[in-house]
Amino acid sequence: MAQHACELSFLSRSDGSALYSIGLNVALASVNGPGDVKVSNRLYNRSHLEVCYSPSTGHSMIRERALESVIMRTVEQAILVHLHPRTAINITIQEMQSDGLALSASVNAACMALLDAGIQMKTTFAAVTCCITPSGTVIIDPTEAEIQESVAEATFVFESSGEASVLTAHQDGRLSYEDFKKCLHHCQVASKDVFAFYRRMTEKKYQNEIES
Amino acid sequence: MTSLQVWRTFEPDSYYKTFLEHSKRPDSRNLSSFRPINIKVGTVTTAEGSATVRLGHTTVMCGIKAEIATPTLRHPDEGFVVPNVELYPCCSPMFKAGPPGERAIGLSQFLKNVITSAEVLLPSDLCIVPNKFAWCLYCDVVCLNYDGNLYDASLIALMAALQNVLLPEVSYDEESERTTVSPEKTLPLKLKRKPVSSTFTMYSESIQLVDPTAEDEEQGGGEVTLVLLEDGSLCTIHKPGGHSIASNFLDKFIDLARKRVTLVNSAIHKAVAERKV
Repeated sequence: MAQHACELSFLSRSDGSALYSIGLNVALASVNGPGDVKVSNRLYNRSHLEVCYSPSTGHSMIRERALESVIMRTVEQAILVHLHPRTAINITIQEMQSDGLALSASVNAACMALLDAGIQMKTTFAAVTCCITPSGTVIIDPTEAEIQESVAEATFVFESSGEASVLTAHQDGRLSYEDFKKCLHHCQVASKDVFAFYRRMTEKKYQNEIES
Repeated sequence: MTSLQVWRTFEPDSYYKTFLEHSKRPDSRNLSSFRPINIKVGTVTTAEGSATVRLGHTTVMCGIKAEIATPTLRHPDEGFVVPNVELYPCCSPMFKAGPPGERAIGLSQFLKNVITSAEVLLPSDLCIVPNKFAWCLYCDVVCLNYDGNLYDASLIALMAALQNVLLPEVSYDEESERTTVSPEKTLPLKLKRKPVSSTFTMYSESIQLVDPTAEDEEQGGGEVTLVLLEDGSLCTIHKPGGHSIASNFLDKFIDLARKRVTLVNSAIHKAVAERKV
């Protein structure tokens, strides 16, 4: 597994923000809310979620719009949206550096930013990407070069509950069902480390507040 | 209005739940049966390839137009396949007029991923003259009637239309730099693989419904789509959020999905053969 690093409250003007890196992939997430919402988006019983994803280079195209949709549906399952009716929660993700793990870094950054903003969630969530080489080895948190050489790539987002159920799954490339289960299992094991990392980061943040 | 219709309109949740308690759905299917498929190819005569697919009430039409484009500098010997899904207001009150919404974009991206992942056709097969000319296939998928399961319907329509495409022969004379397109001599595309998708919706922890209708999708908490190839290997798995599910979630569906691959591919084959006659 690659090195994970995170800095919370990176932005001074957002309700919550996190600069998250997995290896050479860096994503900055900023959360604002629950706040004002346009009349057309106002929902009587829950909060409206908006995700805005900016790529590191170029304009926002169909790929970024599809990523926004996936991230929004994932986050929707974790946040307790029914606690904030007639409001909107905005999550903005800026891809700073990408080395193949843009989706994982963005999802994890979003989770940390939500924790930093203090938005009530029923579970935290962690994304893990893996790829499978032609010889059948599973590599967790691969680099772009390793992904190009691989046969298939899969990204999973897990909940932090006991059995680590799958919130989101995306797989590209061709592989047998047994290999897919192998990837899923390896990612599930790796997700425990990611959740432990989240815990350490939040403990560090509140440690400073208690001491000062 | 009968009392059953009154119940359905005013209490849709409990109406639906009562069916599920008897392991059935309002359209009398049981939880793991698919709707019948109806495929017709060559329905749009002005397009190079087309197909109309009906999955129960869901109707999707795919038209493929081929244009000659310049290959990119990075891949000088590759052509392009550009899928684009449009969900017009005519198919359902859920969709508004204007630029493509989240759902349409998600579907377009899904089709692009499947074509790339499965390597349905080699981009180099679409090249006419490296660095100068290559075919660009614009695949427009339009939903005419929405009754759930657009993932499966659009992929079937796209694959059937691709098998119906006939590209005119293009010859390029280097000395005179003239391109001649001969519309009488047409060649079909060489498709390497034929992926087939199967979608199911998660109603609860233990109940999953295969081939959801619009009502099933509304009552459920998210869809999962599996795309398989003819040899039974997985090509794409797409679960964009929605209810969480245990890690052995696909065990139940992998066999159903494998059987569906042969069924759908033979239906497409039959439709294409019918057209040739």
